[in-house]
Amino acid sequence: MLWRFRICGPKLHLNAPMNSTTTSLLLLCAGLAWLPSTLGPAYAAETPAATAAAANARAVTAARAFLDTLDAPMRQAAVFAFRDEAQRQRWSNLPSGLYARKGLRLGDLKAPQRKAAMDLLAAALSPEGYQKVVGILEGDETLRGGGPGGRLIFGRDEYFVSFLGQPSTTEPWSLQFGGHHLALNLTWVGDRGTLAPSHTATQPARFTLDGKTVRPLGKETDLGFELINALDESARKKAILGAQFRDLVLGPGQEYRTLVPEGVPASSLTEPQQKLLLDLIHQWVGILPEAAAAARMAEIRATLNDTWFAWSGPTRPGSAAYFRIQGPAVFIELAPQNLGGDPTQHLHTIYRDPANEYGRKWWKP
Amino acid sequence: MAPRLGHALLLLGLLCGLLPRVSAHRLEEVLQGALIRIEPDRIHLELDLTPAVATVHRLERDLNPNRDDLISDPEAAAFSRTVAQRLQLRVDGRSIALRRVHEAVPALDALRDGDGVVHLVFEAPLPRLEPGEHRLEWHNGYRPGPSVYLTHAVMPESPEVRIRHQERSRDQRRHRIRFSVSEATTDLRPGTPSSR
Repeated sequence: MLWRFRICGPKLHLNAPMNSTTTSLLLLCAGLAWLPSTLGPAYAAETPAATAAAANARAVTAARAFLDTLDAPMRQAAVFAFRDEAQRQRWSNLPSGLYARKGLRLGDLKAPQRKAAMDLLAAALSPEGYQKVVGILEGDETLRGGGPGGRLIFGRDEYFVSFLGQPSTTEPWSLQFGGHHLALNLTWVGDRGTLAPSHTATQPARFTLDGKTVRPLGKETDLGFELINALDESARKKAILGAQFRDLVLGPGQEYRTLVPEGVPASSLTEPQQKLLLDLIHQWVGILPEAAAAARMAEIRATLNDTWFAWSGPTRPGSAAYFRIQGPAVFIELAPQNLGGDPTQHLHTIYRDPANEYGRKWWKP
Repeated sequence: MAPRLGHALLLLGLLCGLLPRVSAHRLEEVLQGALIRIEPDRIHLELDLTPAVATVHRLERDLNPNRDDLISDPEAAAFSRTVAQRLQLRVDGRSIALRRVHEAVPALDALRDGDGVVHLVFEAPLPRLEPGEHRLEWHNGYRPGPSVYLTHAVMPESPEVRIRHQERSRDQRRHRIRFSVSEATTDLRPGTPSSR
């Protein structure tokens, strides 16, 4: 939203005679003209903090609307104390049947409740983030009936929603949403929001839904290949690690660890290559509403020179390759899962913020 | 069997064969993730073993030798020592013995349900390393069955140690780390991260 101001009083000509009263009125109008309009739609002066606060407010409104659809026992099952560390770290890439989540299962909700839950996600995430989540859920839906046995349970019913703390525009609160191949941990403290840490994954990586091709992690892989292939030979050689990475190093459960950075430092990349790197990072950070994402990206940009990019595997687009981005304000991995099927169809990723996991520096545990 | 039912079953069987194999997660391998922290006077190694559902029984042989389905503290400690014996560590060409520090072993039920990570912590004390360049090599020889290996250095706590280069075998069972040690200093870096 841009600043908007209104001129009060009649339009003045430059040669209009001025007396002290007129001057005072003009000065008053000029002063008032810079104030945000409070009439009609909210054209409030929107600083980044104000827009981020508005994003939190939208999420809070939608969260409360969802909670209002629940009876007391369901509300109790959905909302945990904000400082419940066990629940904070209760997330996984594993499907139901192998991992027991808490909170409310989408499959146990009535239709209006499920709609409210999806409305909450739409309000709490960016449009692209919401589409990614829907893509991951629909991808999991294709696994129903194709699993190796009755123990594993797939599908969009097996995603859980829960809260840490009460949704609030002033007090810290978190929204947890996840299931197989998805764990979003969205923490808000006033006008500051983070999704760190969160896990996105997909299998299959490409499928058709309503006649359209869906690739929930398509941009992540495409930009990764674009970046590695944009590097000159010397930089590419530094970026490529010799070993095979068959899984995430700091996946679910690997909290508060700092690896020694490897690969090529962003400080040695050209400006277009750095932009590509930032665009790639934005595929994770941008799951947040844009105002909150902008603040996180600013932190990452400020520490870009200390950020590294590493790669493992072939560089031909479409191959099964691993990459890692590591800096003071960001840690991302993408790892194809070589489990007997086509590893390019089964991708796991992790997004972390080494400086601020779960927004901890904002609420100081 | 009625012909219609037989045809239906045949069709179902064909369809099952045609369905893409869904291997949504690791079913047949143990994931072994190692993190190594180098300090001037010791090496700290943490090893997480995540058995897939189909491989738990292999770990159980080592974890619960008396087969009573309960992993006692002595059994957990013995398991840790068994694993330590399979890990080879060398610093500047000299073999260094890893000793167990701590282990966190979930209940067998959790492991069998696929919700469990065996967390082992080892340390190897060193005579204080002289300032200069050094190298560490380690080999993960623990193989309870098909395994996937990851190994990585984490940031040292001491500002005197600087990791220069890491090299791994393709399967990540072998890991070579070049590092340097500077003169002991009282200039402590604020907020140095630790591996845990």
